[in-house]
Amino acid sequence: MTLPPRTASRDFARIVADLRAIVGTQWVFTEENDRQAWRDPMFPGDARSLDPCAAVAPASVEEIRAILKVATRHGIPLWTVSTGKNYAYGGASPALKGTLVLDLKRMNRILEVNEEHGYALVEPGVTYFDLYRHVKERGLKLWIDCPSPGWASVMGNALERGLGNTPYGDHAAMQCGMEVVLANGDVVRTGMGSVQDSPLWQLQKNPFGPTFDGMFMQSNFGIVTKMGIWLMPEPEVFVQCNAPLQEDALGPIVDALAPLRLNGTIQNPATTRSWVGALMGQATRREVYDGPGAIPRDLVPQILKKRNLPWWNTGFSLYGYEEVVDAHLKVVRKALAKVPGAELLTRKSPGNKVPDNAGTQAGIPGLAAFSTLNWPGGRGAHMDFSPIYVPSGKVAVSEYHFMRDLFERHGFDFPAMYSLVTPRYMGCVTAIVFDASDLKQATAAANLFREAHAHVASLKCGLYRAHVAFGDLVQGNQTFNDRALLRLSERIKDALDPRGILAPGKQGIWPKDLRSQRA
Amino acid sequence: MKRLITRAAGAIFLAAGLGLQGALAQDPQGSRDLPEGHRLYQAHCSYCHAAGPGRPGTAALERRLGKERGVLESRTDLPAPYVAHVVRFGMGAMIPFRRTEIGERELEAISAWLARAREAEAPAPAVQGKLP
Repeated sequence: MTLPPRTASRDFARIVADLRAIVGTQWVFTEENDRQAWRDPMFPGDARSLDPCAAVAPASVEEIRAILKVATRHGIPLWTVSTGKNYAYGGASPALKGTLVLDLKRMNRILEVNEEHGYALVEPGVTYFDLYRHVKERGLKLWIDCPSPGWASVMGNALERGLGNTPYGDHAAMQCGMEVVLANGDVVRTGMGSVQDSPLWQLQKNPFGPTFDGMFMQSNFGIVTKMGIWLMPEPEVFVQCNAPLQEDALGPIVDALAPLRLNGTIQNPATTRSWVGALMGQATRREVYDGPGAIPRDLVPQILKKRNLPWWNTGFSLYGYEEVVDAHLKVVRKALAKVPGAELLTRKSPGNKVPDNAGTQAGIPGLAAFSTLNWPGGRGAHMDFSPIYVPSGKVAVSEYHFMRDLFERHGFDFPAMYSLVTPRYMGCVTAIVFDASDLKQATAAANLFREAHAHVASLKCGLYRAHVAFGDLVQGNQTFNDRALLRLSERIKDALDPRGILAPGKQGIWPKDLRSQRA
Repeated sequence: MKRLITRAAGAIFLAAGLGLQGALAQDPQGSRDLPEGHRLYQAHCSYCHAAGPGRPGTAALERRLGKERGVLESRTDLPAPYVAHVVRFGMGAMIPFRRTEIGERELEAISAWLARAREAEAPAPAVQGKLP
């Protein structure tokens, strides 16, 4: 029996009975056959080390409040998931073994989509597929912004500050208004939602007084039950741009695009990906190289030639009125003329009729990115390593060489990508791709992550997001003034959740009585 | 007349394997006219298992079973309990789907949909008890 600290096995039956009384027997999952589905299938190690004790699925805010009473009474911690699809970062796995998963998938209403003002108000269980279908079925002239996997939760992804590929790709920045249930059962609406029934809830982020929305992202201070997200008006035209590049073009392309990202000529993440990601998306390891470890470097030129893959491929898009986009395209071409060997390929389409394969740059949800999981064989899995850097060609080149060496030393190919995610930072969301059924590989993935993180920490940089197993490690990098930021988080934690029932250990934030659990 | 065209259009798009965005773009109402298992399959499975590029499930099955048997909906040998088991426990890179995502009745409908060709050829004996 997998129980969390504070919960004696004799209490567990009582807890289960109490939960069943709230949501109905069919929505409390204690049997192994069900529980296994909440385990992280992509865990870098043995997933049972973070096994939940059970899962409970409420259908309403009132049921959540009742569950919180049960949790408070017994001290059993809850790990909230929206759809529980945070793969590469832990899936539905808690940070503390034995935590009870609070699965909000059943709360899946799209409460409003407002075409005139460009926003949606959603419950936790709404996926990008759901929202896309909703918009398309009604012929609304709005685009959504989605991350690589379309099955993720619109709310859940934004609350983890996930990213997409249109101009609305910074999901946390596009969030406007939320409803939060606090550990004591209090229900709060942030921003203009604090004015009863205000039509401004999804239009203006700020109330009179301080804002709190950011506090509920990448944290464990409350349970979000409704969230507003801004949606982009359908542009008149959409021009998808690609530039295949040779190996030494990484520095020049980043330096050519960074100013265009900063001044808004390019409004969406401009991403440069290496051949490794493209190869993983179209082939299996066995088809390419059947030896141990990473692909030997001397084999690479013939692989690229055989598969007609450039070393790098840069992609971004232009959105808006045709006259404006045409003018911006001229600017882009001029900038790219400075990059050796760069040839800009473009595909223009009307905003109301983009090609089916336009992908996430056009806000079309799919699962194409998961083709990468066919690469390793077995139980194909990935864990993301996601550092953030200052936008600079020099940094990209230096980090590329370092990380490629590091990945290959650990036996992994390095799917390098350098993305001008926002106007002011360059992200590298790379996948450590491994067979999760091979414990040696899974452990090697964890070791690689630790070493890669240590390197990024040495540069005084950080990660934008990390697997739940590494919350303490990554939080530990934030050392200013003897970890003042964590100290602040802990004081807030003690104030909002003194019983410590909300997601202990998430991002390395532990309730008072469990701080000894810190890795 | 319009309803007939909508149904036919829906079938053609499925065969072409344009998947979710293709079907929606060209036939937004079509999915509502489908049998429940088919509609649920389209919503929960097609993004990985439809025909065509960018479908990780189809790519994996083609490699393992050959190109003719890569598209799940075209299979004629799938027993419903087997489908249900794979959905609940996963297989290879396919993750398990929870009862909160796909309920028991929904899974029965999806499994029956994928098993329809096999059922037509050789109906299975009645199975006691519930699907996993």
